[in-house]
Parts: sequence; structure tokens; C-alpha cells
Amino acid sequence: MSALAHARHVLAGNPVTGLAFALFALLLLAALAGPELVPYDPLASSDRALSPPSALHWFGTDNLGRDVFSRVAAAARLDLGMAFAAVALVFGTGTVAGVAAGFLGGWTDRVIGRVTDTIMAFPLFVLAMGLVAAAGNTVANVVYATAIINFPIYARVARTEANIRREAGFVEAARLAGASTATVMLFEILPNVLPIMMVQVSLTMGYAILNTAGLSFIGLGIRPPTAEWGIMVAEGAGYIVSGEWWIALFPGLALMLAVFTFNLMGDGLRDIVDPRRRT
Amino acid sequence: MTATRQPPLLAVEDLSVSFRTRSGTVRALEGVGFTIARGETVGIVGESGSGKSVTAYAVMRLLDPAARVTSGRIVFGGLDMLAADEATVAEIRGRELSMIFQNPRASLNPIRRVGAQIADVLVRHANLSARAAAERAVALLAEVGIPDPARRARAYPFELSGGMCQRVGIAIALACRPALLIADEPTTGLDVTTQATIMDLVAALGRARGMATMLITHDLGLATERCDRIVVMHAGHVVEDAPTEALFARPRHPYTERLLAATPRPGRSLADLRTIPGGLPDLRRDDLPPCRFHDRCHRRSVDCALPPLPRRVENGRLVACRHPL
Amino acid sequence: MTAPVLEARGLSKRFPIGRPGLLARRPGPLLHAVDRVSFAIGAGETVGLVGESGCGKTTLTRILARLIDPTEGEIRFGGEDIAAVPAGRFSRHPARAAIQMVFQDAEGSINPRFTALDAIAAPLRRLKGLRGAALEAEVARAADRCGLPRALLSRFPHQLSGGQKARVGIARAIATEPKLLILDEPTSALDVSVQVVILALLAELKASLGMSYLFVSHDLNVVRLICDRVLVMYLGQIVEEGPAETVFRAPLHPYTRALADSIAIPGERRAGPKLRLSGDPKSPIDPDPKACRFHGRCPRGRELCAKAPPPEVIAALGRRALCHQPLTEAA
Repeated sequence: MSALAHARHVLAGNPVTGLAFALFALLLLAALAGPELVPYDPLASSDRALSPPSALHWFGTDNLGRDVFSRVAAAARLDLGMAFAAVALVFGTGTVAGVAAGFLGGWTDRVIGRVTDTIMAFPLFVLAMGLVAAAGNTVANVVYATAIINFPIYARVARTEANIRREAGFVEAARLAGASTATVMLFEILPNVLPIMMVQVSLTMGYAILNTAGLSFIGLGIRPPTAEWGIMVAEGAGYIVSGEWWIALFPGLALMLAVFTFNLMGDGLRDIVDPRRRT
Repeated sequence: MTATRQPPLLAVEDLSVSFRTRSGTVRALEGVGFTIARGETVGIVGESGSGKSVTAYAVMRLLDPAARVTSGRIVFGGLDMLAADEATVAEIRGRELSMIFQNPRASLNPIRRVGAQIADVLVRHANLSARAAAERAVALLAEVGIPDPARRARAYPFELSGGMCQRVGIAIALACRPALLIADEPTTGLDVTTQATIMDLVAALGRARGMATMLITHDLGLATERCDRIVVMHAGHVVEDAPTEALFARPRHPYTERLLAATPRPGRSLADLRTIPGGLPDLRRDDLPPCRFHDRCHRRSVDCALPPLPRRVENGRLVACRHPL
Repeated sequence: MTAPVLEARGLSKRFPIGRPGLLARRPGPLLHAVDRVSFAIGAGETVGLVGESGCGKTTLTRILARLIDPTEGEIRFGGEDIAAVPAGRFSRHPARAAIQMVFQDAEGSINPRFTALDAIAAPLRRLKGLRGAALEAEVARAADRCGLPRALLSRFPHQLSGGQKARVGIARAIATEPKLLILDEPTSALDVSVQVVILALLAELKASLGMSYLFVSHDLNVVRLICDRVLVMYLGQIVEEGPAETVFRAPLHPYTRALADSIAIPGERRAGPKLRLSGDPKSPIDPDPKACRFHGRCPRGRELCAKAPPPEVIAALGRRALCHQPLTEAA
């Protein structure tokens, strides 16, 4: 079965995964083309402030008369973009560190273990706050902080996967075939670790989005008037009590949808990538 | 098959079991039938995919939820095992009918002490108090040949060797003096020297208690040494059923003959061994021939493809073949 | 007499277990996995290696395959001591291609993410530097030699039957045409009908490629069938060595006798008293150097066995046993 046929087979057997992929496509579209396709300029204020959802403004307008729908759709690029950058960073570093720790053991394992233990000693969000506050309130630092707080989970998962395969027959066979330790790690262990890491990537995307939004919510990272889901929830929170529920709800729903999508995708991705599921 | 005055302890009649899987329905067993008399040791012999383990689990009524018994009866001690309700069967399992498994370490709970695991069975089925059960557990450990039983009763499975774990498994299985012990490949995974002592133990305990044994194995040597009678299975069918000596002296089914011819023995060189052509048929097929050995058999004729599968009973032996040797 | 293909001299492997205190002067407890093992494998010979689990045969095979380093001892192969080359560097040594291994668990020994073709190509690519068309041709040749249909080369291990996986493992091992092939229980996971075919294949490959085999197995009927000579290991030591048929028919060492008596022959019930071992082997951790390691389990133990290590008794040409009172033919 070709890869594509297999992918179709998995999706056919698993409608929930299919839904997740469809939603992901929607999010991707919003991220790639959102700011260009939205009906209103996300930053343009108008005099129709605080108007509820209507045919003119699908998600209503906020306190400055800005179209909430346009802002929500446009914010996808920023939120997803930052989360993706953070995940890419931690995926690269965490997987390699974890595989090295799990396969080589000894001092490598101890050092990396201490690093992850140190990070995990903190409540992760507080640590992110601390890192951004200390290093400076920039988008780049938010990305780095998000990557750092997710490092332990990647390193641990990769370490476990590498560790259980350390003594595997195929590792011995690879050595017999002339592979050096580095070759074994890169070409024998890593391809087996990747499927599990794919699930982790998807789950971490969800956390990373929440992280980014959360930091913005408390004023670190993105600043207004930029459209970003976290800021929008923060700005809208004060208006819930007075009855303008739509300002906070829709960006909140967008966040929820994004996290939900990535969580569901995690399983589906693993099914596709793992050759044991190929028939 | 042997002539007995009493009814057999276990009678499996025309048993057919299918499994529903994603890729189709696997007809794992078809028309399987044999009996085990009290005190008899019967070997169920076959290669992988023969259905021997499925048969054992069917008798214990421990089949996978995806399994469907499509026909047949299993009568144990007069009780129809397939028709009885779960509560009745649960009473019997562990008390009259018990099992030891292939991987001794895997069949023990790793986080409980072995003495406690033996005591569990006694409390459940022999109605002993916790303390009485604990004492009896130590006595059972001694019976199965574990030295320093009082101390070992407090050990966890990981502290014991494979052979000792299997002895514990035997102690658990024999705690309530069952009438029938099912041993599913009990020696795979054990050293050769340990295998011998474990099987000696099972045989001795069995003889002392008049216990019958159903020994599932792919090892013909083991079957030769330990069984009174052997049931040979191939692809979910019983192909031959005969007393051990008679079976090996004169195998009647072509599969039995080829199986023996493929097994290394002293006095035979590699060139003397013969293989069995082909492989197991795909049990998901709708068009399986009535004899599942048909495609691999050198003695087949045109009428072998016609149903039904013949079963000949002569001189206390069964052979499922149109042209037995 | 031609020189042996491989000669092991005084190989030992001791694993430190537990950790001695920071200021300990003496080393902590040591597990003696392999203890002063010496033997030779001749050209074109099949030498069997038998023993219980924990006897050290797995460790010994890994040392001979240069996957781990011995604590001491020599391995003479191709005119040099390859034990002196650290295992980590041996993958680049010219002798790497000349010693290969077939594993018991064929499925576990093939990377589940790779196809059969990838598996067989790996040693050819790394050890022989083949690429492209030349590589494909060699892979096809190895597959053909092992009776593996070329169509199966694109399959993953979980899509292959037991016999097919075994063939992939063998094809990979012989792809570089090694001089010595170490086979670690290659057929124990296979049905008996498949085993015949694989054993025949191994015999044919040995002849056509001029290899020597070290055949590890717990199935003594198979060892008797295909091995010229047998080494019996117990708790890290070789307790007996001799021609395969003789060792089982008339063993010198009581342990070998127990092994021989535990063999069940299909179709024949053996009469007569059988030697059975009770209990479990002694611990391989810091064994008493002044006693025989089999003492306590040996039904023939004497006082001397607990006081002095057993000598190596040479019974005949090529037959030896490590015992104070080896069994004689009449015993």
C-alpha cells in the first residue's frame, strides 16, 4: 500500500481523525491566508463599538469597533506561528537530547536528566512568565520560553523510547553491519522514536498555543493592538459581566478549537506514520 | 477413544470456533473432538496456528471476546461448559479445572508475593481463612519442591528463577486438587534440565492425585515422554488421535508422518529429515477444502476435495483422512 | 592440520554490579559471566555451544562477535588478536565483515522501520561500500542464495512469516561472505517443518561459502544433528568439549549427563534411570575460586569438590572435561 492509500485507509476507518484533519486544514488556511481574506482590517476601529453578532459582523465588534471575526481569523497566523516555532525548536533539541540520554546512558543521561528535573521543578507557566520577564518582553523570548518549558516532556519521551530499544536485536545487528554509535542513534533508533514524537508534537502544539495565549493574557509577549487570541480574551473578559459576551467568547472558542484539533491529530498522525499499521 | 467404563472426564464434541477480525473471520477450530479420561495424560500436539491453544482456552471458557463458538459441546465432569453461566464456570475454574501457562513469570502478578497468590486460590475455592490459606500455601510450595518455602512464600516473582516461577504456577494450579490440569506449553522458556524436573513434578503430583492432564505442546519429544495419548492438530482440525506408542510406531495421517519426519532425532542426519511443503491455509477463506491438509498432501486424490472430512475410528484410533497410511 | 579460523584464549568477562563506596579500596561485587574460556573453531566446522540460561553463552557470543569487550583474554582471528580492538572501534575494522551473526528473534533483529531490502543492504553498504546498482545486485544475490523471493524484499518485518524473517536474517548475515557465522538459536522460534528447511539452507550455505559456524542452541536434538563438536558451558566455564555425538552418548561431565538425560526423543520413550538436577545454579557473583561451581547440584559431589577447583581432564583427542571425577564410559 502506498503512503497515500494508507493515509486514506486510516482516515476512512477513523472519522474522528478525519474531522481533526479537516479542522487542521481550516486552521492552516486561516493562518496562511487569514489576514488577507478577512472582511475587515483587524486593526481598523469603527464607530460601531460593542455591537453583538450580526450579518454585518459575524462575531460582533469589540470596544473599539473592530470586527471580532476578522481579528480572530487573523490572529490564527500569530498564535499558530509562534506555537509552531516553539514546537519545532523543542522537537529538534528535545528529541536529540532524549535519544542521546536514553541510548548512551551514563553522564549524558545524568546531565540531561538534571536539566529536565530543574525545569520541571517549577510550575511551567510560572517559569515561562519568569523567563520572559527576565529576558525581555519580545515575541522571540515567548517562543524560547515556550520551547524551554516543553523540553522535559520531549526529552523524557524520547529517552524512554531510546532506552527500551537500546538492547534490541536490530541495534546489535546494526553494529555487526559496521554502524558506529552515532549512526545507530541517528539511523536505527531515531526512526523508531519519531512516530511517538509525532504524537507529542501534536499535543505540544496545543500546550504551546495555550502558553502563548496565556502569556499574552497577562501582558507578556504580544501587545495590543495586535490581534491575538490571548489578548482578545483578556480585553473581552471585562465586558462579560456587562453582557458583551462575544468579545471574549469567540477568541476563547478559537483557542479551544485549536487545542482540540491538535490533540485529535496526535493519534491520527501516529497511525499513519507507524509502519506496523500498514497492511 | 480408549475404552473406559466410566464416562470421560472431559469430552469435546464437534467444537468449532471462529474469530472476527478486521481482515475477516478466522475459522480457528472446526469439528474438534476428543476425550480425556480421569487420570489420563493427553497431549494436544501441533505447530503454530494449529488451534491447540484456542482449544485449551475454549475448554476453560477463557476465549477472547472476539471469539464465537459456532458449534459443538464441551462437557466437563458432566457439566456443559458452554451452556453454563459464568458463575458456575468460575466456581469450577481453579478448583476442578486449572491451567499452567507458557511464560511462568508472565502468569504471576508481579506486585504480589507468591505465597499470597497461592493463598488467593485457596480462599476463593477451598473456603479457607486467610491464615489457614497462608499456611497451606507454604505447604504447597514445599510440595512443588521449592526449598525454604516459608521464606520463599514472601518473595515476589522477580526474585525467583523461571523454573521456580513455574513451580509456583503449578502450586497455584494444583492448590485445590483439580481433576484436570491444562498445561499450555509449560516448558517453553525453561532450560532443558528444568523442563525435565518440572514435568517430572507434574507427572508425580498427577499420579498421586489421579489428576488428568491436557498437555499442549509443539514438542514431539515432550509429548512422547509424558502422554498416554496424543491428539494431533493441523489448521484447526484434529487429524489424528491415538495412544502415544501406536501413534509414533505407525502414524496414519500424512501430516503426522511428515511432522515426525521433520523432527530431528538421534540416528538421523540432516539429509534424512523431510519438510512439509506449502504452509498453513489462510483460515479466513470461504472456500477451504474439507481437509485442510489437502493442498500440502502428497497422497491427495480428487475425492479429497469433496466434503465431508472423513473420520475413521479403528482400534481405538481416530484418523481424519480418506487415504490413511 | 590447518590453522583454526578462530581461537579464543582465556576469555573472561566480569561485570561490576552495585557500586562500591566512594572510598572503597576493593572493587565491589563482580558477576563472572565468562571465566577463562578457551577453544578453537576450525575451518568449515560447526561447533555447538550449549548451556542453561545464565551460563554465559550469550555473553560469550557477544564477545566473539566483538559487540562487547572481554575483561581479559585473546581472540585470534585472521592472524591478529581482535579482542585488543575495542568494540566501539571494531565496526571500522576489516575483520568486521568476516564475523557475522544470526539472531534468535529474527523479527527483533530487523529494524521495524526498514524493509527486508534495507536490512540486507546495510552491511553491504557500510562494510563493502557498495552503492546503487552494485548494491542492489548483491542484495539480490544474497536473497537468492537464501531462497528469499525478491518480491519480499520490499516488505517490512511484520509482514513476513517466521520462516521468511529467518531467511532475511540469514541473508543479511551472509551478504558479506563472512568466514565465521555465529548463530544464536536461529531456529528455536520456528515450527519444526520450517526448521528443517532453514537448517538445510544453513548447511548448504556453509558448504558453498566455506564458512565455519558457532551454533548456540538449547535444542540438543538439533545440536546433535548439525554440530561436529560441542562446547558445554556452565556458570561461565566450559565444562566439557568433544565430538557432538560422543558428548551426548557418553558424557564425561555430570552436567552434560544431566543434559543428555533430559533430551526427549520424539517417538521413543527412553527407559532407564535419568540424572536429574535439583535446585538452581549457584550465583555467578563472586564465585568461590576454591570450589567447583557445579558442586551442590552435582549428584556425584565429594569433599574435594568443595575444596579445590576442578582440573581440566583430557580424556582423548579433542575431548576434555572440567571435573574432579569425570564419568567414565562405564559409569
